[in-house]
Amino acid sequence: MLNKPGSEHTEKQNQLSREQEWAEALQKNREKVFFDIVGRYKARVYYLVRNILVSHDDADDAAQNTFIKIWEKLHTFRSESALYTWIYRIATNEALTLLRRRKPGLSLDDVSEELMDTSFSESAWIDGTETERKLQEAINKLPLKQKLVFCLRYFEELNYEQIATITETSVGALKASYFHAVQKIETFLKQSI
Amino acid sequence: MKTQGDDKIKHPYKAPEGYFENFEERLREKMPVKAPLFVSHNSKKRRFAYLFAAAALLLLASFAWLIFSKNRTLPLPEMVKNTEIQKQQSDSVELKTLIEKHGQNEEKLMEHIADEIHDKPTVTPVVMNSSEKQIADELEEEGIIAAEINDNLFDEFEILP
Repeated sequence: MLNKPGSEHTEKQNQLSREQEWAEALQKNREKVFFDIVGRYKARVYYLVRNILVSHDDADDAAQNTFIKIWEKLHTFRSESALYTWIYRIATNEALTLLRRRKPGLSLDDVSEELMDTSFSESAWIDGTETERKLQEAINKLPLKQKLVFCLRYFEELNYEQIATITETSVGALKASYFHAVQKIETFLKQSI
Repeated sequence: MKTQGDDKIKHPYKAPEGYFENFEERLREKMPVKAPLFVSHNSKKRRFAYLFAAAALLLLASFAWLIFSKNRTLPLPEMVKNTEIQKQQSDSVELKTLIEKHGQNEEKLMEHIADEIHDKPTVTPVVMNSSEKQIADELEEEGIIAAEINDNLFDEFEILP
């Protein structure tokens, strides 16, 4: 039911080229470059962590903390990986850190819905069609690991190699996680019709 | 359910109005006042910090070496130590000489040493260490009566004119 997401090769090439320029300019004008990065990635970071955390307040905290960490660690960034992969990795870790504060012994097998401060239906700042809401409800019933992989693959349209860099998991394990996630979502959507 | 291109199902989340407009402003308030010291690999600050650390380490090492070496070579303790060693050595030589002189005669040797250090040998004749009663008993056996002046022993005897 769910097909593989498409890729926009040219846009991504331009993006990569832009990020290489940013990395070089970094040494010259750190603060200016940093807020250029914030301007470029704030929405993507916000919606990435929002997908994981659901609550706007949690997502706001995680997004702000992500950029603070980026500011502190900007000098450590090596251009071996793409900048946005590095940023996403920090953002993902910040979202998981926030969840760990809520549940100290957090496991990636824990169901994400049980970890959220507010349920999906009660959470403010939710809009969208019935289908979009149903899909998100299904995603929130996934174990945390599968939810993370699904969001990065489906919504962020990252390839498995990029997701592997972010999550420090093997490509094979990621493919398995994504496959199981899709199966569970399809089952949930069929049952809810 | 198709998800490619425009058919892709999006997430239903939305941000509050104006959220992204003041995102940087709120971020500036939360950011640490100063950037980390080591801004880049080639920064002057970084090089100065390394130089300072190296100098401090060198100074500390010099002090430590100075104190350590000084403790091992202080003249006064050395002199005392040498004196003690020499004294021990001379004592050993003297003892050896004494042994040779008195022909391994331990008793004579002990006497000589006692005289040298003004200390009487611990082994004494029985009579000297005996109590007065023991002395009196011994004298009585020999026919001598020992008496104290206040014993009233002579009260039984008449003094003849």
